Amino acid sequence: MIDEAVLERLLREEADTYVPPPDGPDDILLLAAEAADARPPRAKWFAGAAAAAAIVAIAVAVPRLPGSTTYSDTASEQYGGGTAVALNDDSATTRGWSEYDAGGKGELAYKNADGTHVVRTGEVWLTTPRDRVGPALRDVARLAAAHGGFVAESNAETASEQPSGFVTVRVPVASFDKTVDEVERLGEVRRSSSDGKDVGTEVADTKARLKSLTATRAQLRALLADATNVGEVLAVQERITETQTEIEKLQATQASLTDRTTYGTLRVMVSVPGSEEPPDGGFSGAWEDAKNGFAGGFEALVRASGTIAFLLVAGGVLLVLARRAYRYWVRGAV
Amino acid sequence: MDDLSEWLAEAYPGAYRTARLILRDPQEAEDAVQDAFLRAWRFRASAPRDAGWQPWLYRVVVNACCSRLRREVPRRERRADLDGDYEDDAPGPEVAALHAEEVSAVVDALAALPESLRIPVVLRYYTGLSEKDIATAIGRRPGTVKSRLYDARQRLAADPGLRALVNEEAVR
Repeated sequence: MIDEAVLERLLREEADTYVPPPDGPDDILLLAAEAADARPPRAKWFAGAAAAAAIVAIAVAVPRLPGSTTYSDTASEQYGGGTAVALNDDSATTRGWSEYDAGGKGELAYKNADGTHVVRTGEVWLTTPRDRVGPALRDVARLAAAHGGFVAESNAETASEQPSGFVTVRVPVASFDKTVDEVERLGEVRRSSSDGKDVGTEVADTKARLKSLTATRAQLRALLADATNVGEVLAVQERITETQTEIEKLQATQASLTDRTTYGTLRVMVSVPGSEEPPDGGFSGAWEDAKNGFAGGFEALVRASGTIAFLLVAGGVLLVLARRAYRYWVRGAV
Repeated sequence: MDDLSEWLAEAYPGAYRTARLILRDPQEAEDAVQDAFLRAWRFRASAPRDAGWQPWLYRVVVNACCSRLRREVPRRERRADLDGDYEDDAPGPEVAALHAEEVSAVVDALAALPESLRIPVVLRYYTGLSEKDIATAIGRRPGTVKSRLYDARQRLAADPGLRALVNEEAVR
């Protein structure tokens, strides 16, 4: 039989290693306060409608504010036998990026206004002598590794008459511009473009929604413990499953955002001089285009929804006013 | 006890550690204690006055732990919940090094006990409740608690990991 004093000591020592979550008591106070403030359904409906209206209003207004766009412009540089560098001439201040000519050499340098959560992508098309296509592709991979990056995809046809290939590398966002500079030195630049997209709002939104849904799940679990019949248990469990699914989706989004804001994606295509088109990724290139097209279409739809909602509301108000004016005019005429 | 923050200040750490010993999983323990406090607060009017409130609260905590043990929560859900929130929950490297063997032996031995024995053991030898209070907490008679504790101690004594640990300490 184990000695009681020994058992007490062992359990105490084990339990002493458990540090209670520091936010635990605060979360409970918050949830208890929320439960106490629970409004009747009608008030909740109005609060929900007001919140939705506020979100629509913000969605319409925010993109129009200076310095708050989605920063998705592309700065393209065309080097066609010494052609002048063509830069996007939008004002940098209206895009949230401060963009400047780093050394008067036509090179673009980016500085994020808030310093965080930026997705970087870029594309460089190089031409090299026939015997340099393979080594250039390997050099790109080596450069990426030197900056802490890695190769995501590559393809080369160096044995054909017109050797060509491409490599897609993922490099840490902080080293992205430097990597592009170094890659451009590996051959003659036919085309180079890079893109920066600030996803700070998306990151903050995902985080806030995750926090809110986690709190909702905790409340639902408390409700489940209180459920007194099978019907209630099933209803609450269904809500918990829905909430859990939503949480998992958001966690996947968060993971993807973290990945994309940690590593930039640079696609480097290498071919011999005289090639009309850059070597593409075949099916994978088409797939990338399809994905981008879908995301772009969806983004455009969401962006337009604010304007559509505004037009509907404004149209409704005008219709009501017009009907009242017409009735007033008819009555006056009689 | 008319103030929730007072309840939490006094009982949260002990309730959390008790739930951890019963459930092992930190996130499950946190959720169970959260559920228990919210539920206890909602029904605070039925809480006994004076010293009787703690066994009553532990009864709610134990019920929350039991419902979690009985519910088949998919492992995936539990892992998703963890999300690396409590890195500081783990003991420091020195503590971990000193207690690694002891901790695993104790935890493994506890985990090997059935729920009906594990809960009285934790409440008696960690939380420090009397047999009468444990009876209140688990809704059984004091005699049942006594026999369960006896049975649990016998089983723990037979646990090879725990026996090795105790023998090693005796030699030291």
